[in-house]
Amino acid sequence: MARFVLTRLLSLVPVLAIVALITFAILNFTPGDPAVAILGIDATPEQREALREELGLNRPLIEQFLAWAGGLLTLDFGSSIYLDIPVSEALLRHLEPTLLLATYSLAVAILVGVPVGVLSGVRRGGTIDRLVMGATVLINGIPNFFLGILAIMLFAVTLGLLPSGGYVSPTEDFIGHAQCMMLPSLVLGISLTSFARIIRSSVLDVMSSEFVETAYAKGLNRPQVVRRHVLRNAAIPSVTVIGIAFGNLLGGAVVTEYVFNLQGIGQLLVESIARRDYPVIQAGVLLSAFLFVLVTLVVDIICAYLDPRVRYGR
Amino acid sequence: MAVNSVGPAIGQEIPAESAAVRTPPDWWYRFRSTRRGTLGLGLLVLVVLACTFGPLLSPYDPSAVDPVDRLAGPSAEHWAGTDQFGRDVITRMLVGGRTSLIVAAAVTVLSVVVGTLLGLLSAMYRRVDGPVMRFLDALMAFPSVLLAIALMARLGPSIVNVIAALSIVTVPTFARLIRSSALVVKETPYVELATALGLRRRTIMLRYLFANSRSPMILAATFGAATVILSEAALSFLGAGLPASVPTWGGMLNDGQTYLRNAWWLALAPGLMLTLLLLSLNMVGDALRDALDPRSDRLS
Repeated sequence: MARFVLTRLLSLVPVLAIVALITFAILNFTPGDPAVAILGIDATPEQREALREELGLNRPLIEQFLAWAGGLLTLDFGSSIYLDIPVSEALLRHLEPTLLLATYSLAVAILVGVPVGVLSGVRRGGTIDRLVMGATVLINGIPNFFLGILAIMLFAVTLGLLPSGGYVSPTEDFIGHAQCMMLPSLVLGISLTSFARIIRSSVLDVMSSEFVETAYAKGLNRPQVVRRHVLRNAAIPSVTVIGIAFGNLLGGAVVTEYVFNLQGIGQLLVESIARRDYPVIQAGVLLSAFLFVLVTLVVDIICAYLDPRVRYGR
Repeated sequence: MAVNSVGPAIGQEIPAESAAVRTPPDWWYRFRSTRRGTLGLGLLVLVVLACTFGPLLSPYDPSAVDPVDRLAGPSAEHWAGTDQFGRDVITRMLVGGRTSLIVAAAVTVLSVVVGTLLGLLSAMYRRVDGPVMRFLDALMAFPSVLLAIALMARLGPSIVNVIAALSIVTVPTFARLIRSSALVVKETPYVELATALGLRRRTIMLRYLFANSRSPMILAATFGAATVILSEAALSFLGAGLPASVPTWGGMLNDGQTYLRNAWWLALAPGLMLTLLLLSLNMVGDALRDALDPRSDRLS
């Protein structure tokens, strides 16, 4: 197991390096002068020159990349052009809402998606199954930002039950926090539950396997078979899909934060686009990619723990 | 890949291979026989027709400002009301749909071409495989919406840039898919035979691997188009997509959110249209998956 974890960790190094390179390339190899893009076309040549000097754009690209990548290793992402503070500080200030939104909505997605997927797989063709399948098709079709707007219309504007947006820290006012996080977490969580469908089909796969037939033949009843044999074997693909859902979560959080005006990292990124604050955008995107890669690693490790066949290679 | 497993019934005339009239493939009949497929395809055609010809039938200019009729609710003149500049919502919705469809079509075609090329090359030539796949893996490590946002932040708002950014995000998935299906075909006895007969690798790639990548490609293109439409709407919603002067569903939803308290109709029309289009594409995709691979387990 330790050996498996170690090899997987080492294999991350090239991926992370290329991810960093791509992020760097987005800013530096795309057409147009960043100094013009940041300052606008009205700036004088002197101002542009000063900015280029400040951002180090006059140095050779290799040198720029090494300096930037070296900074990454010490968590130094440079300075925000607009906010005039280090990027790491800007990110830290916006971290709390994003982290909590991600946690809550992943919890909603798992608490709803997993039981629903298992149930509809076990009772294939039943009423629950049909309802769930219809619902997942619908959920796949509704963009989460439209769902968010509809939720605000209903619960905030029409019924006046919950706030339409804004963020309250749980340490300040826990009830206020729960109220303002309710809608965004439910909306983002629900939009992730379409993985229930994949859990359902992996349950179906296991249900039709020979060892399940054997289990029935030796006299176990359905709850026993499901608990002892089906769930364990269906868990592996399920963990993988939940890991993939995490990637959608990172992207979805940006849009959801925007809809509900949560001052998280996503909101910071969107605002930075209008401000042409490239160092912030670069760091935000890079961090989310790193996070996604790490989650993929954790998923792999969990799968290896659950299934010895993965550990020893096929 | 056993697409042709259902043969003609006994007693039925078997169509000759070289017949002038080509019969549609089996999967088409299986697709047509599902309710999900026909309903989805019907809706899709409806949305496409409405967005293509609707703007021509509308009496309004999508960007004509009418200060008197600002934020007017649905009425006989303006079926879905007007926006904060007094522009007709229905007309803007139809024009926005046109843009969405153009972006989706362009990105899907580009990604299919580039994805198929990269996928086939890396399945056939091991020297290409390593670097190309490493690079695509790294691209796939980015949450796709965020990568598109970063690209758009740098490129600036325009339709060409949206197409470029979304294609960069979409190609890796397509290439991976084609590569994995081509790798399976590469191991089949007939490809082995072709190799033994001395066919060149390029010929094998084009003749066998390419021909067999058609059905996974059709599927990927259907679901891919839905993802592209969703991403374009999200980008425009966040103000990182098309220029604000162009009507888009995402941009209209953004307006709708701004004026949520006094004009609920602003978000409703583009949101419902977007949902309808995504639903129809997903339904068509589901039905196609069942039809192209009869062994896959059906959803209902």
